[in-house]
Amino acid sequence: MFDLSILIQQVVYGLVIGSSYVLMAAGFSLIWGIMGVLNLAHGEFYMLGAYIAYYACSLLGFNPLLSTLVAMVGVFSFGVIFERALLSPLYGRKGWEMSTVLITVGASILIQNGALVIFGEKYKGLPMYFDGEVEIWKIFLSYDRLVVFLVGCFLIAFLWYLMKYTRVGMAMRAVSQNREGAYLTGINVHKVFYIAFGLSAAFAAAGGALLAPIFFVYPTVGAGPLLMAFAIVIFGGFGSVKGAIVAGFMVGVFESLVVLIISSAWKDVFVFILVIIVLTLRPRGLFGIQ
Amino acid sequence: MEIQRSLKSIVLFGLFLLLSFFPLLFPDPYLIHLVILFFLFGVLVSSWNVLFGYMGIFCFGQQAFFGTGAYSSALLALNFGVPIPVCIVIGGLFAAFSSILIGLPTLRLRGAYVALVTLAFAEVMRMTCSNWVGVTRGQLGLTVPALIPGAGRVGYYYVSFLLFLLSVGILVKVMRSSFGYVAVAIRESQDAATSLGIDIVKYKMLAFLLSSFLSGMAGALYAHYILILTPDIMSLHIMITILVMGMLGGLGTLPGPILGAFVLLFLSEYLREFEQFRFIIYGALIVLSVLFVPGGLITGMRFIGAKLEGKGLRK
Repeated sequence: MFDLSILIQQVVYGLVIGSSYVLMAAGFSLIWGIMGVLNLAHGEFYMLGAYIAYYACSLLGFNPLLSTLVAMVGVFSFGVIFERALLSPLYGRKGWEMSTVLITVGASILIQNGALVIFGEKYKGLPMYFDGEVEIWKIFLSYDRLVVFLVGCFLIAFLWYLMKYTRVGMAMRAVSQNREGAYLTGINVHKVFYIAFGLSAAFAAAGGALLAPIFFVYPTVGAGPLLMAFAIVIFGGFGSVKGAIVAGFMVGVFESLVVLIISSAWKDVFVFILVIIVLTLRPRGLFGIQ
Repeated sequence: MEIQRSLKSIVLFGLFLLLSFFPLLFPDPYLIHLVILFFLFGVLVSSWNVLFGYMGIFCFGQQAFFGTGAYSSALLALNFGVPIPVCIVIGGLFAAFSSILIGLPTLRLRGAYVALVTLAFAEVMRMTCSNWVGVTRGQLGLTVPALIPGAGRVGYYYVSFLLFLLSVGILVKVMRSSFGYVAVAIRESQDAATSLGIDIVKYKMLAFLLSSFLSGMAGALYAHYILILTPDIMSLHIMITILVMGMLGGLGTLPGPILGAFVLLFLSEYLREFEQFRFIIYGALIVLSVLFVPGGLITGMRFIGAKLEGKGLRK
């Protein structure tokens, strides 16, 4: 009954889910590192991405991958407006950390329930990317999940390249290391803020859009991934994109194994208990540096 | 100053009289129900305010204390036949115990980490209640025995009024003692507070115990009043409601959260036709109050009061 190929199968599924968690968590972590903002509305970007992809696909007839791109561009713009309208007025205010937490909670409630009214609570499904499945070594993987995994990895690599080698990425890293120092070298800190925020939103949207054909789309779909992004960022350490990548895949696999060994109803419970234990032992997360 | 103070005592005494005779003056069951909810949420939001508003602990798991109190009290009454008033107190104690579980890991953490851990803790509690079907009946819910079998709303009104008065009394006493000053000192700067020899761990733990005990009792009473208990009592919606009430009224003040609970409960009554927009309005209220009235209604009222006295803003 309990044979090795099922175990490996489950690990592979974990990696597929993990790739979307990484997209979610990397942006979440980035915003914390650069701006010091705990963005509790991050799950709504995931949800909006999934909806935009859904409508691009069903109304405009785009193929799912193009729809993902549309979702990323759309949510990027939304993220920039979000940052300009809601977060930028708060910079430098007393009690700034608390006000940003509160305003993102408020925005999250607003967007989520706005979506409920506009899109309705019905679950919406996207058509699959491709039919059929590949078989390697008695492990079956549908083309769908394979595509999600590959595109996810491509986007993660893209983010990595962006952060490491481009001028925008270097500016972002500079701001995250020392805001005043970056400002003095002539970096436009406010511009870095809104670009980083838009990027983080766009990557969350990609996560939502990519998984839309596998799971369903509904207004509260972002809540689960947001909590997972928390867990991952805690494991990986706040502000560390590298940590988010490692921890994202780890959590994906851990979750799949809990599903296999115990039951799917308890998977989140176990992930969160693990988070609480890790934080008790290491208050800065597994790879956290500060 | 003197006039203001005596005016305040007159207003407070008037409110006390009004609330004492409210069920006799307005025998409308629905109105009484609303005031009962106001009492229970008033206790809940005020006790959360000790952590969030006074001490600056980003606790996003208050719904877990509310729910723990409710579930432990209901289960004790159902399975062991413990008298219900005793159950309610024990429910508060259980909630306080759960706050030790969540308080200990968060003591050494700061800011955002605390928010995440408390939120994760509340979700763990909620999912446990919904998955542990053998004990809690999961989403089907428990049928909770009534506190006062056969009694109408008026009985519940006075019990919850009593809980409300006791809680507010305790909070006023505690927050005006040195504890209140220590709490604000910890909120403003943990490092400065430590350097003055304040035992931060002790005070944070005390705040958690007090806050969760009161929330747990409110939750237990709520369960024995509503008579049906599902894991939704620990849903994020409860936390959102607490948050909006606290922010609307003004965090870090004693009357703020109570005022916020009152305004929000009655506001949502007026907005009943717009039920589907309720949480949109809550979200908008949070966003707007962070942007434009960070201190909440109570600060606005104090500001106007001070203007009328012609003395400028008193801090």
